[in-house]
Amino acid sequence: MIPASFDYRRAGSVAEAASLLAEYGADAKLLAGGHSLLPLMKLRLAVPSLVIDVGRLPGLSYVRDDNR
Amino acid sequence: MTVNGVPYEDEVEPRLLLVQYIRNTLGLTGTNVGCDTTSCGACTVLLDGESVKSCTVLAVQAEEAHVTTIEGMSLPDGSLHPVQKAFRENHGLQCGFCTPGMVMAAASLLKENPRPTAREIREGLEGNLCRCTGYHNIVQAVLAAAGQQAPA
Repeated sequence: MIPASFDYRRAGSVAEAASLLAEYGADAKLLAGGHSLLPLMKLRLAVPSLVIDVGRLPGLSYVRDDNR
Repeated sequence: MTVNGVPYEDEVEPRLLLVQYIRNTLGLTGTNVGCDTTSCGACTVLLDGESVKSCTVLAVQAEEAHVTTIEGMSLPDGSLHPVQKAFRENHGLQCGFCTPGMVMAAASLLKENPRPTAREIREGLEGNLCRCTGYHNIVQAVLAAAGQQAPA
């Protein structure tokens, strides 16, 4: 199965990802690893026109528990 | 991207899946497509050292990354990787369709946990299905690859 066509952008920063999201709204989806999003796209349950890859953003590579 | 140590450069559509790139563009058909729905793990490869299901990764996500497929597992002298050797010696395969993915997932598991218990192996390989139901010998093979005596 092959997803429908889409544009792919690799965000260079969290700010760039956020600005692309703001610009494209519901037409854009964030891609981290893809093991949730890509199966949905293959089944056409998600048909984003833009996929924003945030998988390599260093600021998003961890979760920190600060005890709050 | 670099696949099995060989650099490749191609212009691809964003929707091209990594497994299609590996099989159709590069002709490396050792990586199988099983379910194509992220369930079975037959298409497992290593992406920068971590196991991923290549039917669920875009080729563009692997830009500038290092990919290892089953073809890249054997040692430079052509001999089998210890995990491959253990699968053969312990009859860790029946029809063989899941085997490339199993070997890649097992190699990744052993890198994270060099001496796993049988239970940890079963948990570590839960994303890889064997339709022959040959799990027992697969677990024995991974134990053996970790240098551990398989329990009877």
